[in-house]
Amino acid sequence: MADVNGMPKLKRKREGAEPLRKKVKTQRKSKTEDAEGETSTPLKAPVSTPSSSNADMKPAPPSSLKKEPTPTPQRSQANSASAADSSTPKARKDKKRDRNQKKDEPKASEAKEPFVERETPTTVVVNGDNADKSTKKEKKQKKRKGKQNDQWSLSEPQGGWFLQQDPVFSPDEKHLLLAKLKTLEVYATETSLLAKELPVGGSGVILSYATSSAQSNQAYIADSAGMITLWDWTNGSKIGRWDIGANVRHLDVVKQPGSDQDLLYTHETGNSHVINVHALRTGAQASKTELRRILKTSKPISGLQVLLGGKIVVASSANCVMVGKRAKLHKTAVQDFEYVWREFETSGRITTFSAYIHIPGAEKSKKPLQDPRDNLDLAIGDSEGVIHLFEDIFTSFAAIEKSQKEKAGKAIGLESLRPKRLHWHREAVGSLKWSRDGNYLISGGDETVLTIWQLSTGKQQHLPHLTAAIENVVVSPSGASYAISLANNSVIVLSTSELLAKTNIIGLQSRRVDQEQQPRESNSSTYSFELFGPVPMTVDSKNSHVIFATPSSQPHRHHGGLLPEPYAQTYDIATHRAVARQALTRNNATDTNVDPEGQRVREPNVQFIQTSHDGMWLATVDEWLPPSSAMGHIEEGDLKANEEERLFRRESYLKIWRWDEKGAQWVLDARIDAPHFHKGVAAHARVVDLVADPSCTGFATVGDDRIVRVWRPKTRTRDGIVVRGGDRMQGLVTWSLDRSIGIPSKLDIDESDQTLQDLSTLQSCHLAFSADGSALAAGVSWASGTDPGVIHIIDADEGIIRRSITEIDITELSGLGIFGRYLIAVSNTIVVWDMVIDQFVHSMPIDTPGVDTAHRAQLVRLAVNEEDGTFAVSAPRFEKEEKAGSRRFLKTSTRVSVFDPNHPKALWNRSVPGIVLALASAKGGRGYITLDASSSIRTISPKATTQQLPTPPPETMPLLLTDSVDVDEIDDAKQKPYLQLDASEELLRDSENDKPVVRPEQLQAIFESGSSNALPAVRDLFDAIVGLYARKPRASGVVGAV
Amino acid sequence: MAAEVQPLQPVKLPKGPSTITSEQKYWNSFASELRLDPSQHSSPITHISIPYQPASNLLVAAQELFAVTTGSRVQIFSSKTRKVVKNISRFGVDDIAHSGAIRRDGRIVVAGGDSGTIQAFDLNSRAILKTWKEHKQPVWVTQWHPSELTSLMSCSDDQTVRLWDLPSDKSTIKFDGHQDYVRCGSFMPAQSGLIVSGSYDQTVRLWDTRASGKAVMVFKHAAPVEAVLPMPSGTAVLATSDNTISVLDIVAAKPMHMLRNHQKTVTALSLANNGERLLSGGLDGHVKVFETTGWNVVAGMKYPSPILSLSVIPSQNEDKHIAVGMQTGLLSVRTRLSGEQKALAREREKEMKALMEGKIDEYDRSRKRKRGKGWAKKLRGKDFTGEGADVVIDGNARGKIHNSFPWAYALRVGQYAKALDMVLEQNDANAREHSITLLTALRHRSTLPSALANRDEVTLQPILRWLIKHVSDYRITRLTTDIALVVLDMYADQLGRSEEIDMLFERLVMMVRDVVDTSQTAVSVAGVVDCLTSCAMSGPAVEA
Repeated sequence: MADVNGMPKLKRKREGAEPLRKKVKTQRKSKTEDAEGETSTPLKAPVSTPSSSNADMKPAPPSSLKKEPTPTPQRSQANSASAADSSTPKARKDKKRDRNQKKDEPKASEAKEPFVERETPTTVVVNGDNADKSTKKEKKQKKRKGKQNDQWSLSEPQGGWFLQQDPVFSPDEKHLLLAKLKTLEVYATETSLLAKELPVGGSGVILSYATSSAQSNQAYIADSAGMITLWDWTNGSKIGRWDIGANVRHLDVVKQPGSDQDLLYTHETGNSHVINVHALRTGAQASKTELRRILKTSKPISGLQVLLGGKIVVASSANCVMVGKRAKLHKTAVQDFEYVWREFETSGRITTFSAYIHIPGAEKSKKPLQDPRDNLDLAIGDSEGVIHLFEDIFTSFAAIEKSQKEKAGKAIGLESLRPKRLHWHREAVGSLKWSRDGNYLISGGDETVLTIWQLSTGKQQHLPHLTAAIENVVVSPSGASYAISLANNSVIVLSTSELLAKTNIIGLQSRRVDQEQQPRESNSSTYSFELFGPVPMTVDSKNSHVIFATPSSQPHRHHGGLLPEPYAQTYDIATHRAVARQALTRNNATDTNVDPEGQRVREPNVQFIQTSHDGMWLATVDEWLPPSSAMGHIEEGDLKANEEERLFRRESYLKIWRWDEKGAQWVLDARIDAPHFHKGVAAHARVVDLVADPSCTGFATVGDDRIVRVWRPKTRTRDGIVVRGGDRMQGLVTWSLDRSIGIPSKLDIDESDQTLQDLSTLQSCHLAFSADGSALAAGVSWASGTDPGVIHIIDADEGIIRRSITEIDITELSGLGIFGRYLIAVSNTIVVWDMVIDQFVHSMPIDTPGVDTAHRAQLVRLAVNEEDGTFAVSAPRFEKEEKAGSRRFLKTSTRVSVFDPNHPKALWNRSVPGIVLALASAKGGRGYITLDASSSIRTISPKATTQQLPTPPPETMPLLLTDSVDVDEIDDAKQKPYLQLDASEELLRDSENDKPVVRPEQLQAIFESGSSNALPAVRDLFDAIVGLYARKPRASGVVGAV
Repeated sequence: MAAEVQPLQPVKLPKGPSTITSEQKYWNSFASELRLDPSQHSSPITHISIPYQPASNLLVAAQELFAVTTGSRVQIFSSKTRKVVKNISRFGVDDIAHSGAIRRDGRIVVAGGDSGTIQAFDLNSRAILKTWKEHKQPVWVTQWHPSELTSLMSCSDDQTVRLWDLPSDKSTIKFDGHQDYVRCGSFMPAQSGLIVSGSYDQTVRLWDTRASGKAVMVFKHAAPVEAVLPMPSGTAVLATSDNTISVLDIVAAKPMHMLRNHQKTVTALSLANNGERLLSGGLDGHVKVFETTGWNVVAGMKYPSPILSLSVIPSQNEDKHIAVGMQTGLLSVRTRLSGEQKALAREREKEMKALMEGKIDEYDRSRKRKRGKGWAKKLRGKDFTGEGADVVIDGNARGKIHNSFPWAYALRVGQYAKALDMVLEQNDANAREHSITLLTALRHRSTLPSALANRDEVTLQPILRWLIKHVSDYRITRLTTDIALVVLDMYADQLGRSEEIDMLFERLVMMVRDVVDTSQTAVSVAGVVDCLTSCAMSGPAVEA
């Protein structure tokens, strides 16, 4: 930007401007946090100068702008009344009047404000509305305080998406400022690590932010509560806070001409779009806080750029570019800012633009503001991938205006400006920036290619295959690096010379549901809720990692349907960092991602992810269906037949990945094509559920071919010899079908004519393993209204259905779990069934307002945690906002409840904002993990009480089991040593180091007292066995207990 | 960061049940077969033996010889050249030789005969050194002691096993006990001083040479014992009776395994791979290879007639030949060529072929053009033209892009029709895999129509030919039908304009009809088989 230091000091003290201050008060929060910091010092100033303000100013109507953030009609009148150039120097709200008026209002808490000496920053409120909010907030806090006494706690969200705004470099380029909804994060560019986190308290979320141009260590943050706060991001302290009562979408900070203080150019939204100039001041100068409106338009502004210290302002809307040039340059006071706006329309939809000032000659720093001719070059990228380049646009404007003088001020056509066309991008240009010297254009598009245009020669340099659409490109202050933010929630800093990544900041990339995609009040009945379908997620039991499926790219502009999720991301909850991302299916990272018809090529979608009990294996199921557009060759007009043909072309794979310790990644070990198969039509069947065996390595799947299949590894032998290979000394392993169990429908559908319609009657099916892997429950609900569905309890060893429970109504089954002796089924209600006494225990209702029962099954989640003996259910809530605002989106939240199967009441209930897309129990630990639609992870964990520490750790399940073994099982145990001769058995035996080692001789000694009639009393036998198995755990296991 | 371009993953179709294991590959590599009739009268080849080779005897050079006994002669072959070195035929007029065995120093050959005589010959001069006529019946086994040079054993139809000392005229020890012909026998290895013998009285007996008299151990079988073979460890003995091979543990004195893989009597056993594999030959003409830990069959070979004798002939610690003697008098020597030899043999073959075709000049020229790898290195820098010219070295900042096939590149840059043309032009071994991979990729990208569109009479042909060829592959039916449907969708109205295309379409239709017929037959067969199996399953239950 232009250097404004050299310009003459024209600063004028304008006492009279004071009444125009919009700010009620500014807050200083000193580092010492003492009482002095809390006193609102500037309060007296506005009160003391009420009369002088009116002297200067055109009298403003006594309407309170504070009460409505949108511009008042009076102001628009003022706009129209002013010069034809549409700049409005006068229309200001009289702050003082406002204050006076408020004083008159007895209800508003603010009324008493001038007399209150001390106030905490959080309670600074301006109008009645806000007052309401604050009291509500307090109530909420009280509520939370009350909740904090219970045994479970909900963590703060981790992850979340970076704001779709240009990343901001610190002036020394050592740091990169990125914002999420609630925090401003400072990353070190050298290490890619998070250096500082500034939490933005309050109810609002961050909308935009910018660093101060006067103080490099300060940053302005605008939030949705209508506040702009000034932070010192180096030490995390809050410096100032202003309520401007509007949502700031774009923020640009320049130095005020004639002073070294900041001017904020803000684009504020409301009923109309407004560009304001704010001079926000703190401390002793707080009285000089000023505001000046420079543009008001009904077109939604999509971009804003301020050049030359505010001399030129460029804004863009969907198909229109507005260029404002400040008139009367010698007047540097904010209130004297006047802009001459010129606008022209473009044919395509503008996605991005960038302007550059060419300063002719060498006198760069010498009074650039005096130079009457600034060569403004403008580059506009549109949704077709074309970049329009306007060179020296002011000259063109002048020429056109001269030629059609009478029409000046009207929209100027694009063609009359004769732009250069640069067309390489296949899809929309995501972001566009000039290089610092103006010789290059750097553009990034949706086709994941970064292109650098050398304008003098027309040559291009490409950096292809960035794996996700490019959303923002920023050239660093020195021009030595580019920061690129991608649509997969990551930011890369590239060096300009060799285009190598220096910094790589990766956020959580799971499915994001934007507000625009959420159900509205108007369409809540027709909304499909498919976006809120489950995200495959699993917890790695080796470490604290969570693995979940992610789409390759989620552009903020994309508001279409569900994206396929071909990748898996690994996120470490302990360190709050994304660890790895890897492709689970074929993907379009390096291939053309659109087909000749312009349709996006869809990758296969990963539907299920599970890790084995020891974390050494990962099983995924992915599915691909050809798009209906590709079925033209069998198009016969019959929609149903077409869809059926399409389903026949489904490709579904079960993939088993092995954990590679050396490479720290999952390596594909086996791919099973068509794990479920419709024999009659030779088509891949849909896999409906996948679970991992919690006791030994193995996975179970169920498909809509109505067969439960159990997959287990076998040590590969060739001619009787164990095959060793690669780095695996233990021998290679073949995954194969261990068992397949047909699940009969209660309906007795005639098996002979298996058509697809027939098979689709399987509406939902869920599987659950018992903790010892001996029982497998398969809950099937059929699409028939009369049939309540059935739960089969399958003996996993024998592959026989032992019991079919039809007593439970599971019409809309959304989850199934086994915990100990209890079977938990979540359908219309949560049902707990005791499998030992074969009885219904109790049921609890689920409440999901805003979702009808047809959609509920895919939205409710169940997770069972063996460790702490609980299960959790999350139920979404789509509620109407109490006050009917302009946004007609339903308010979303999720009720997460933790239950103990022994009690019919929930142990703990909490409403989580947003919709929980995945819920999993923390393996090997206590508590649960949720992943929600804003891609943030929360952990729900029981609170450790102090009394728990001295007692030994809770007994684990295996121990409990061996305690209660009966004689038959002991016989089994006796035979075990022989079985272990088998090499495969040896390999796959899990290493249970904590268990006491019982040698077969010891067991034999107990039982070898003679024939069966000479055995000692059962009680004595039992005691002897318990003595063997249930001896004290080893010392290492109970370090914490001693 | 910029993702690396990965080569397109080839589509792997499911494999049928029979795959070639590395073991089978190894045994198949005994490929160079020599078949000859050493007796010239088609007399059965009853015995093939190699001189005993101690595992770690570095002092005595290994004797690259083996002895083949057929008719009335013993032939000594060189295992280097597979040619006859010596021919010993000094047996009686109507005598038939048995069990010619070379002493481990390669100097003396001993053989038994139908007349009951045992003769020792000097291998060089073929002079008879010794004749023993103690056995009254045909002698079927003569074998040199593994360590003592002068000691040997014999088994005869007179139900005795005898031990001989070369200088003495009489047998040193005579073992009585067998009730029938003794047709096989061997010294046990490892200084045990034991002899094992198998007889038609269905027993395998172990004799202790230090104490004459009764057998130390007797294993009774169900059928006459045809062959015995001690394992090198000395703790196990293999014996064949009828079509089974029994593995006898002589420490535990019980049989460990019974191998019943042959259909007919097993007549010959031989160890290979330093005792890790066992080869057995039988009257069914099969040679089966067992591994000696789990005793599973790992490979097999088929010979045209019943096998009477078998030996694996090692050379320099690895198996070199498999010599199999057959009933018809045919001797088959299969040899495994080492890599170098293989290349040489191939080269020689090529040269011979070129010579035959009269293209030897061309061949010579092509040979000359082949230069070593270091050639380019030698020339490097020779084209330097001086300081004046700038040498521009184009660096590739993005690292190496995997250079895959040209069609894969065409696919990546979106030239779908071109990629398809390229892959259909291919006719090497990978053509099928590549074409399926590409067509699957095209389907995944919904680009099949654009790849198949706008083709003329010439360029449509390869696609139709591909379809005709692959429409019968049941593993890719979905793919082939989709392609055929797209082609029909596009070109159906063009039919009748070109004779060749019409003909290809007709052939395609015929092919489809064929496939449909075949699958219908298959389904009906499956139905019948299902019916049969379900009957068989329920059968016993009904009876009960």
